[in-house]
Amino acid sequence: MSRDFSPFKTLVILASAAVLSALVLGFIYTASEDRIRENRERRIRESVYRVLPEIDMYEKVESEPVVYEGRLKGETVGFAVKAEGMGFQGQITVMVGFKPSGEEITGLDILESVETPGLGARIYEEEFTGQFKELQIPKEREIEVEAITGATISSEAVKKIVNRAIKDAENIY
Amino acid sequence: MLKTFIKGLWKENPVLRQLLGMCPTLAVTTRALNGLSMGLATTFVLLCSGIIISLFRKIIPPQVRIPVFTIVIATFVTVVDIVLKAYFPEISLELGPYVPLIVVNCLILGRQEAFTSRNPLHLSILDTLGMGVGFIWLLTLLSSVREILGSGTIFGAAVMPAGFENWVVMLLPAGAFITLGFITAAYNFVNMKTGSS
Repeated sequence: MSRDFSPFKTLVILASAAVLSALVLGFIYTASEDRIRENRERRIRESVYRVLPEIDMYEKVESEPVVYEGRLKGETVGFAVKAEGMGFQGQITVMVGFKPSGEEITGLDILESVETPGLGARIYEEEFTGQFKELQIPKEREIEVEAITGATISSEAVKKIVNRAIKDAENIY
Repeated sequence: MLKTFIKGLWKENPVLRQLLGMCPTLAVTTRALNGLSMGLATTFVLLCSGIIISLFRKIIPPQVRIPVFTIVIATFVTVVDIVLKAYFPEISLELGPYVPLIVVNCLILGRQEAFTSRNPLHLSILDTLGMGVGFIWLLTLLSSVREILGSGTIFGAAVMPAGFENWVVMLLPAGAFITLGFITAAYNFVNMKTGSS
């Protein structure tokens, strides 16, 4: 271990390690980029069809917030709104489907979350998300759902996010 | 030579004996699949870094060895992260930030310092593989116990009778400490009985 390296040589070796690393990563990233984007788009596509089950096509119509317009035979039959907010441990991202009248939620899909497995992560389960199927939005524009036992915070967080999405969606009808 | 491989499995098990890599050990082992994936990802990084560092050990100046090791390790971790995102998006979502965090798993840097930077290639491969397999089986065992008791399933398949009430605590951080404590105790007990410690 007592070999001597001149400062110059040390510098060259360290720099070449960094350059080589950058080359390898650049190559791998370029090779996988398309697939990563495809995965993300597929996830969104599945989600839009899940919350707007009737549609045969959809189009992104807004990006702040992200809104997809779902159509059946050319006619607008619903909107899917992407919304996010704080959960128990971190960000929860959801997709909420609305009837064009704005009176009914057609469905809910959880896109991403870091909730506790077995507890908060149960917001993914049909038992919870099913409550948002064909759910009428009351006059006060705020919905209520039953929280999962042992996961009150995560359930309330999703409810809040959906309520925010209801407000966001009001501008698009 | 075989000893170089075998020692990581039991005698010098990275988690049970050296108490290295505790962060992923405790954090991601809520489900058997997560534990196994984390074990495999870590072993891949450990093995690849070990190969590169062992090959170049004579031209890495001692003054900058730690930065060089870190660059090599970080490169392979990023490769794993990109590959998981592209080909195993579900696992990537489950493990989330814990994949990039493999960079700071002291088990990996520890092996480079202690072994691969001063041993020839074939021994370095055996050493890192042994440590990797030792890490995999421990993580898989720990996450299986937590999944069975906490969710009543293993690798997603139900194993507990219908009336079984899930032990929620097993899925929380406390469950990781409790389970690891029992496993470590059993490990020490066996070593004591066989007199191999």
